[in-house]
Amino acid sequence: MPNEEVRIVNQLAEIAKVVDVLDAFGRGNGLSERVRHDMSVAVDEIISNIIHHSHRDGASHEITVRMNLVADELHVQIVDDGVAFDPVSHDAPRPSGSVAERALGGLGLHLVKSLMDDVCYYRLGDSNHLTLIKKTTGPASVSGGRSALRLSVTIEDGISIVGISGRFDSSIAREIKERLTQLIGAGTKRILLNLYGLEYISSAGFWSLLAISRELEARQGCLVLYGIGDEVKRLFDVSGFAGMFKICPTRELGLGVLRESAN
Amino acid sequence: MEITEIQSGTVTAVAVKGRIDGATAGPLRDRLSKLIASGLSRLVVDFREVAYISSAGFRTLLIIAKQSEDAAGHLALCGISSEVRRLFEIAAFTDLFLILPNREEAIAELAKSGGS
Repeated sequence: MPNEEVRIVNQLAEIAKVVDVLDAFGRGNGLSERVRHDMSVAVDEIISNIIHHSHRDGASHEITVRMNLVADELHVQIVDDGVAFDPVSHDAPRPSGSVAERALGGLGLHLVKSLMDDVCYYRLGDSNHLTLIKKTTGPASVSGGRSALRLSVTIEDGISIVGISGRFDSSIAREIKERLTQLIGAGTKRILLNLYGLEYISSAGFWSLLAISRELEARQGCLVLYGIGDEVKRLFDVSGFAGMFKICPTRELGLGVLRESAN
Repeated sequence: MEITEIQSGTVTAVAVKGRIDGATAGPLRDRLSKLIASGLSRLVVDFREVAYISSAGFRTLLIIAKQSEDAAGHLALCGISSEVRRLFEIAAFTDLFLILPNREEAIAELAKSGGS
């Protein structure tokens, strides 16, 4: 599996180094101009953000960038030890207005979310782990129309809080199950699923969540769901899956159930 | 990033080569600001050799557009590749600028514009 790693310090002039390595990696592995271009812009935006906002001590910090080709996707993971920032759940407004009216806050994240097929965020220990994912095959269209973001992970007091947004159907059920399984493999026993952003869940989605729930129970762990909207609640009820999960109305109640489960 | 200026009659073309990123957007802004401040009111920014533009680059373009408007100047962009044009569309920047296919047409267009 082709991969490459580059480490830089938190200075804007270092961005060019990363993009040079990324471009060479892309060319060396036969990636299209569009994939290389879009990933370069996204990596530039994320690293610029880190350099501008992540560290407030004025000291030099290392940023690690890992590139991987996985099946038909280019994954670029960016790790920094700055303040926690989850771009996945951060709102990026659609740009509009004339030259005089135009506000540019959030434009960088809007570009990232529009250009990437997926963005995943994990806060592990004292580091931000952000993975940018771009499909390397198939129609080279911009995915801006639909919500391209699906999974975010924050770890709080040993509890992994996982947000899933968009449509949870068969096309992504396996992937989400794999990511959650990875999390369990890394030692997570308690997962709180935030489903506020969920638009739809199919039976494939239910089955993958059930598999995760059983996997956690087998390890004396626990899965709790919260933030289920009316539409999605109806799907839980109709499918008969509602009774198979621990469901809480709020995040605090969910965290409470998980804290108790550890005792 | 490299910046080259070419004077053509009353129009100044600025050819940009490389990446307009978080590190290079600042120097580009300073260079274009200086041209506007020095009284060169008809500016063409040629994107033919721009590999990509990030949000920092869009910020620079917006600042330059405002300065150009304040100076009653004329600004045009040209030579934008299909990849870069896609970014202009995502950023909703296509309507904010006069965009022409190439440098020759951009220079001809600005040479026609009124004022000094």
